[in-house]
Amino acid sequence: MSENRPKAWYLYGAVALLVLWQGASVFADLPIVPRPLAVLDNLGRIFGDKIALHSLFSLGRIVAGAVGAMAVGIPVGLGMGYFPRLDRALSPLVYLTYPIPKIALLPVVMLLAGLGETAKIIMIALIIVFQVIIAVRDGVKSIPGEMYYPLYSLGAGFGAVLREILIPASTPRILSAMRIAMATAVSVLFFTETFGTEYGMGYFIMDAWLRVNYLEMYAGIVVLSVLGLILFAAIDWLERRLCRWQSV
Amino acid sequence: MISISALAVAYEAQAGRCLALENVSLGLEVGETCAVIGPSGCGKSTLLKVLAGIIKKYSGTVMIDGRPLTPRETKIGFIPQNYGLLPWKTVYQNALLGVTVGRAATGADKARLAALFDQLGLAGLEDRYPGELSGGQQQRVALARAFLLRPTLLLMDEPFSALDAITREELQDVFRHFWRREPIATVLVTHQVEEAVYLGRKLVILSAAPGRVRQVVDNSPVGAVSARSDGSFARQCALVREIIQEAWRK
Repeated sequence: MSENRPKAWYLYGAVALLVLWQGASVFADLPIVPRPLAVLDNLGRIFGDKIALHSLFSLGRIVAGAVGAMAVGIPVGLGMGYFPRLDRALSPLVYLTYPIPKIALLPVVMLLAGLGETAKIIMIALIIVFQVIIAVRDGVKSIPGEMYYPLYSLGAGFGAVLREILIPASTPRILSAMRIAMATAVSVLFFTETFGTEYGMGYFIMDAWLRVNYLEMYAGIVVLSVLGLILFAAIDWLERRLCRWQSV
Repeated sequence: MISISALAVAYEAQAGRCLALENVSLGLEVGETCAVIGPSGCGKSTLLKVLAGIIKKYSGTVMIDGRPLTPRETKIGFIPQNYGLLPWKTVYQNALLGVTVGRAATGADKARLAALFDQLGLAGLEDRYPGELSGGQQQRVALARAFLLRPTLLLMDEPFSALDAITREELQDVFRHFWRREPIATVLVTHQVEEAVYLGRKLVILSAAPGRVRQVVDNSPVGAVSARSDGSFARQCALVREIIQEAWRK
């Protein structure tokens, strides 16, 4: 199984991408598509001084947004999944707001939360929170009724049901939702970082572009892609740790 | 002493109100096993859910020693058809779940559980997950959980029906062995005559929906006593079959 050697597969993906990129760059033969080795060489030289700080800013925003989304989405999703009345009350609201492209809400969020960090984190949280709510709700709804009976017959309260059944049953769903939402979250992060800040990968890439420094721009794109990879790998790692029972 | 009188349960279906159980009255002594036999859909499982405190809307009374039966005041063990193990808990955690709802496991619990695991042939499987076990092993874990809990009332919903014939008989023997050592009032729902006669001291025959008590058969000379090879066991099975055929005929 490929799961057994994830590191080898990541390497394979990176090499395949570099080969394609090299081909495109030779074929196009334009400054806007530089050679990958030149970009990597440039990246090695400027990472410590320039890019590291920007990437930490971006990572921090994503993590803050994801934590915020889970802090809101998990309780709401659990409540909706477990209490049918709450589901009936909130589902229309969720269904109406979920399809709105969150980027369209950017002006509103900016007006309410300002141009600083808060607006950026709220945007990321908005992207992720709906996926989490729906995944957790559906996860809880799919728990067969019989699974609760031994606990109910022991007089277990909601707290015990939450701890023993609802949270462990929905953990894999939460991680799946995070994985699905992460790519969109990175895109929106990029967008929000193009204004109101001088830190973050979005700012760095746009700034390099305006300075017509294509090598730096591509270095930024590579770092953004690696950032995504790290986030996905972290979610995979969490899943292996928290949901060991699933792989049996 | 557990007494059920004039119990009726209705549920809302698309076609309107449906009666699942009607006018069910039963008495169960401490340390008595009672096997409930009925055709599919007769409300056998509903009866167990009422006793387990899962269904709270019913008419009639369900009392234990003169007080209403509720899970908060009475220790009730419940083994559902699929054994009720939580897939995200190890075998060990699953077996402890009964005693750990509401408190932490004590050293005494752990020592008793280790002994139970030995007797049930589960030693060495403590860190496995239920998904890694066979059906028979899962059933053993469910039994370990129930016997560790030492409930006042044990409820079992077709506990052995999903197992192959040999494993089923083996586990029926395991149950009888433990039950004789520590007789727990048990209500067991089944659709198998042999299982009912082998395990139940009292046999309750329900009619088709809505479930009503058609007949109560005293099985104490046979249930939980005689071996399957005894002539009395075979005769009792034949007798109960006749009673059932009579009772289920409209």
